Amino acid sequence: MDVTAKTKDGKEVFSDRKIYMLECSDSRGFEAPSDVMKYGAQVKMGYIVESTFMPLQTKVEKYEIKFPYEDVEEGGKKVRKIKAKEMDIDIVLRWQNDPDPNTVGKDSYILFQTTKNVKIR
Amino acid sequence: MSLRSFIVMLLFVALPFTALAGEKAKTIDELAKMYDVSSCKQCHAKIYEEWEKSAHAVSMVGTGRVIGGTRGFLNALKTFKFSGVNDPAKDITVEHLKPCWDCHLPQLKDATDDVAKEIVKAYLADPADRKTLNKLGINCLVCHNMRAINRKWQDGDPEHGVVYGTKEGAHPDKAYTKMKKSPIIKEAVMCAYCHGLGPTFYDPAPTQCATLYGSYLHAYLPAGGNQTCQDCHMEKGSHRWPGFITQGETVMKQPNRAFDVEVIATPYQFLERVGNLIPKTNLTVKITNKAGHRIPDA
Repeated sequence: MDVTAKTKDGKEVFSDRKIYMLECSDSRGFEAPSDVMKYGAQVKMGYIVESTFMPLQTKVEKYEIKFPYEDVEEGGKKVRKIKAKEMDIDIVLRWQNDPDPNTVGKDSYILFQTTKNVKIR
Repeated sequence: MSLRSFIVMLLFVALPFTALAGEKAKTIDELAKMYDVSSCKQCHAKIYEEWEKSAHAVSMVGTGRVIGGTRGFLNALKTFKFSGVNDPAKDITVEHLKPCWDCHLPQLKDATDDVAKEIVKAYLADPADRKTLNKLGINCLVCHNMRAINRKWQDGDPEHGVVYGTKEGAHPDKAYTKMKKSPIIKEAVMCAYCHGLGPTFYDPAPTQCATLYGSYLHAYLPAGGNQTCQDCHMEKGSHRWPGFITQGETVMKQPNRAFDVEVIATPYQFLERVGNLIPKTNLTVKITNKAGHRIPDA
């Protein structure tokens, strides 16, 4: 899932990617570190981390996305200047066939996509 | 015992086995012919067309990832000291491919090692010979005969010439003349043999391909789920089995149905301490998996 926030002038101010999958090892710790994730059905035997979406369960992800600001001195006082009071936050959840995001609709299928416009006064 | 009685007894004992044993296919084409299902289309046209577009029909290729995975397996056999494989093209036997064919092509049990080598050649060709590989796949006979019985000491081996389903009686086909009820065909366990529990510990080269039925048993049912695989993936009797990985246009339908996503964005100024207002948005994304198994899974 990719979460990206941009100001109205297109400047990216936040980006995060989370990958949900079965992360497997070969469970052969005696000959190689078993804390190294492996690919390949003939290699995998067990999980290191299980980060998938479990059936009938809700996964809650929380983000804190700051509006861009800077602190400047004005008349001997520190003043916080908010550089953009509006952002578009894109949330894209997609199924990825291969590790690299290739052609959407071929290797990468969008399951959910929305944009949240957020403003502060 | 007279000689005649002895011969009659011998025939009685021997006949069922000779009738079932049959000859083994020596080529991919022979194996494809042995398990030809084209006659099913005559009466079950809609189901046949759905199946043709399904991932099952191209189980040797899949989305293409099966090719990569199988190549990885074949190359790994070379590195396994006790596999007896130095050159996959020459040394591979049906037995070596069992961890793969048990699900991707169970028909291979009725093939010679020559067929195994032909399959290896198709996988290792550059590019892989998809046309040859797609002559074979999970077809009507796999589910409606070979895998329709899972308790063989209780129910016997699947019988030759029988189509297993939900009915008993005559079946208007030259080769498959009878219909019998499969005790499992409407149960989730029907899909479990291949969409499995995890590592195949019973193989000399265990593979961890499918873990989906494990997720169904140990996560979906305990969470209160009560649907079967067929309820969602064979809705209205469809034989397309929609999911993430299938052929063509319905690929998006099932996963979109599986998720509920709620996004809550709260922009505000957080007062960290007096004089320090931080303008930010708290974003919460709630993703609920409504499917009968973990996602992603296989």
